Amino acid sequence: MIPLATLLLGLQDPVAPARALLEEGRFAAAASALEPLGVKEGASPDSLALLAEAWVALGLLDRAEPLLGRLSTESSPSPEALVSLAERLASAGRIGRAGVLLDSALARRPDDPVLLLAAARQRYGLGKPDQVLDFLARPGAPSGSGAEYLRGASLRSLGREAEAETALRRAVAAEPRHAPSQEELGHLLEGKGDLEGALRSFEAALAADADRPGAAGGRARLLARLGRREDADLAFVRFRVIHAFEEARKDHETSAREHPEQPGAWLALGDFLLENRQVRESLPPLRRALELAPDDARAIESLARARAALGESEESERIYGDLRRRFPDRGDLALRLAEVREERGAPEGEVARLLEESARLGCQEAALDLALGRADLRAGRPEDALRRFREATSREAGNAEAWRTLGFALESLGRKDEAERELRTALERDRSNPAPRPALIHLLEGRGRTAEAARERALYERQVLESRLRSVRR
Amino acid sequence: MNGACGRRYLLETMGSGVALFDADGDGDLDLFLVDGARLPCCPATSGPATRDRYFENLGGGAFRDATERSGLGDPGYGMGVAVGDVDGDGRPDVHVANFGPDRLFRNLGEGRFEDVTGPARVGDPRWGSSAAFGDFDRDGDLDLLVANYLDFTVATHRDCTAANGIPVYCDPDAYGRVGSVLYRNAGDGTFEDATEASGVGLPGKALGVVFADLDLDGDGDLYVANDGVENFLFRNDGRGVFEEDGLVSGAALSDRGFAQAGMGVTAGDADGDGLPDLLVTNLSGETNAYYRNLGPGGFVHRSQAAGLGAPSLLDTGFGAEFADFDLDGDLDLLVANGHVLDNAERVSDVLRSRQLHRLYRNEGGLFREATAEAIPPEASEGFGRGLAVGDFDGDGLPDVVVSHCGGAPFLYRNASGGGARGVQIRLVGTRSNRDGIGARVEARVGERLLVREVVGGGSYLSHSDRTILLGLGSAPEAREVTVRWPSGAVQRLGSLPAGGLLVLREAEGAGR
Repeated sequence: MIPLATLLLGLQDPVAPARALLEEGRFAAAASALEPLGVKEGASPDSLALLAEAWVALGLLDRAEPLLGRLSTESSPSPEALVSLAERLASAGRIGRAGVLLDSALARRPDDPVLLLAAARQRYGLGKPDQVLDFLARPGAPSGSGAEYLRGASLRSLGREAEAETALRRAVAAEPRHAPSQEELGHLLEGKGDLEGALRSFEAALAADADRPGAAGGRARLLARLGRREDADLAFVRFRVIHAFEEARKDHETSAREHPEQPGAWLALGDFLLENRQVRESLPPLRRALELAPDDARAIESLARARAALGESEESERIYGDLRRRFPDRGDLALRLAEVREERGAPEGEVARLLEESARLGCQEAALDLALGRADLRAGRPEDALRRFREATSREAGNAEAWRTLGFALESLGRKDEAERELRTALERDRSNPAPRPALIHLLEGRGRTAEAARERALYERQVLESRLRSVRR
Repeated sequence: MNGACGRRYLLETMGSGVALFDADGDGDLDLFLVDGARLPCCPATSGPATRDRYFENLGGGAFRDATERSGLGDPGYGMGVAVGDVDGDGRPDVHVANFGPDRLFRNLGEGRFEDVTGPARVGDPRWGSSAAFGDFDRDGDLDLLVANYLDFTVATHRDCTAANGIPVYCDPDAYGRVGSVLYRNAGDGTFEDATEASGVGLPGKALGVVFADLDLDGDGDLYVANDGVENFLFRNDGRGVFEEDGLVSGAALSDRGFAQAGMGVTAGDADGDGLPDLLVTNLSGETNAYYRNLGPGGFVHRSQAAGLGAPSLLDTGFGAEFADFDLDGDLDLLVANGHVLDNAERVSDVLRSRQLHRLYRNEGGLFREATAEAIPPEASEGFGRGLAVGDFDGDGLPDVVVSHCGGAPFLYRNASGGGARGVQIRLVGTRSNRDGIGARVEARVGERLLVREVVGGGSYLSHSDRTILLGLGSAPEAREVTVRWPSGAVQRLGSLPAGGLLVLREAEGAGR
């Protein structure tokens, strides 16, 4: 295999692949790929900036500092590369150094909009709203939603609320889905006593980004204040889910920050994010865990799951294949490989062989029953399929996919009454388990009983939120 | 002392509190300083054995160490202090929250105290922080809430590092939550643990606590500032049973919806609308949280719009009090700052370990930072922790004491000029609790209506004097002065001239 560094050095411009490595959390790989360039005469300024960024990400500030000096005096990287480096410095506790870097770049390019916006953001992070306004008033300063948001938030912190409102309204006019501006406007309007206006802003923020705790909390409070008790109750549950998630995420991040050399801390963070559907965000910590412990099977498996969830089935197939070779006795890995291959359209016989192998190795997952059942259906063995689907629901009663598959199968076989009876019985048996409900909703809608379906949908929404809250808190 | 010996036990950086109160009944404010101690795990060379200290005010703000004679020299690892007349004998008693068993000292008069922890049954051994006296069940005597901080012992200490590998004090996330304890005064010198029955035992990471009527329904509520988890607002049903309502009320989190590192808390009508607002001090990077009271429905986070956001962004705040320092009729704010990390400069290039204590002047509801003009630079920064307000030199202006972690306190004598004067009212309850905690005083000054409440607790680990101060600016008098006692009694006092101090006893026949 060709070493990564050689591969990158052989390219015309190593910046793009190295940036990809950095974004994936593979800081050491990015640094070793770029390091030979750092000592070269005539190295591209952007590659120097990226190397400095890799050092900063690795916490090796002493190594980054000479490069930062060169970038401030001799070299002139692109504004985008500088801003990325400045942001990395800020997140490493060097927001002051980031400011020096941006200021020196601005001295060379005083009207660059990207640099002006970044410098304004940096000053905002230091609690200097008057300086933010100064940067945004300079020739060349941008006027988009990001700039107007900063202007509005800064004016607000100077007590200039009317001007702040104007700026924030400009921001949301320029980009209605700019969630930070909508949320800030919501807070401003709430403070003014315009509760309906504030509610609209919080809802607009949530439409753009459903997981914003500030907007979710604001919406719930306002619904309560406006007397819409039922809506408020549900909104508070939703807010508590987001809040609990953020709290748990903070705990994991703190643990990783305080124990940066422990792969387990990064893996726990990555797994937590993955389980909570923050798939793309889970990649850097998982990659970091693997940089620290390259053979950790749990981390490799998590990475494969993340790749699969992102639709990168080729990469996940490769990873599962490697794992299968290392752990040939694990039926769950055979199942995962079968799922990925099925997703990629592999021949049915190949998938079937893997499923049989998984069963032979004693895999106890509902997903295996479902896959085998689907094969039975395709092969014209409906009763066998139904038996397997029922097996899946009894094995994992909380698996909505299992109930959905069973419901669809019965429905498609024309046994709608039986399907409804079976789903209702399951819901009565365990009222705290929402998993059978989506299948029932689908069935009721298909039978034209829309009012009943709507009632079930409202119940389901609440149940799912409560169940998610329990899961996140755990 | 904080007992630091290089291991970075979290305990070492939390500091200790300070109290200003008239311990010996001679009419001026004495000073009580809680102190840490040598930790058993540290070598004996890590500092001298210490104890809490009591300083008698000799008049005019000169103090003399009278610890020995007072009996207040507890050698435990001290954190917070609360003062209240628990037996209604007219003499303020002292509760000290410790890392280890808490202590209650009964005031015997003339500046002498006896330890009554055992018979009173208030020696909770957990890590106590702030405490607040208040008549939670409205039976006329003072109950007590003692906030507990973390499920931490020296044995469960963890070594923590910052992202760049530098050893630091752990984030409180490293340790579990723990419940606070509410003691109901049985009226016979003992207290009953009413934590469960009162509903305030919810596990948190409590550092600051204040008892004030936040929903204006006539009884005192409890607000608890938690470090790193959501703050609690316990609404009182009037009988001493509380319901936690922080999230719904809007006073639990930042405006971004995140829990912050709540340290200290102060309550007062900062915007002059007659409703008690809240200020919670937080960690650098978070800003202090100013929750404006909107009425019984709840609060709105207004740090930024009130001018209290940006100036506090890099501060780590602890003790804080609203007080009318310039006697112009509105409440200013003083915050004691100091980072929890003694090596903050190594963790971030914009943070400092020793930080400026900040004075925010209230200018019509918008706060303007006025530190440079108000506090001498040579005594403006440190590892600030506790903060107490009281007129210790007897000139009618509120003075300040700030305690520091691992260092000497600062005493700030208020030297405000400009000729503004105020009216001081010291309340003595008869049917209500003796300290008048929960009483509301209203007065007209010019066109303004001033509303002040005698609160329990407040600040961080500290106790401020409870004398009500009405700043009059240039007005000659406060008009239509009315006192609403927790018993429901109302006393209308008419006009009170500037410069006076009134000791007001709750009238037996006062109307309702």
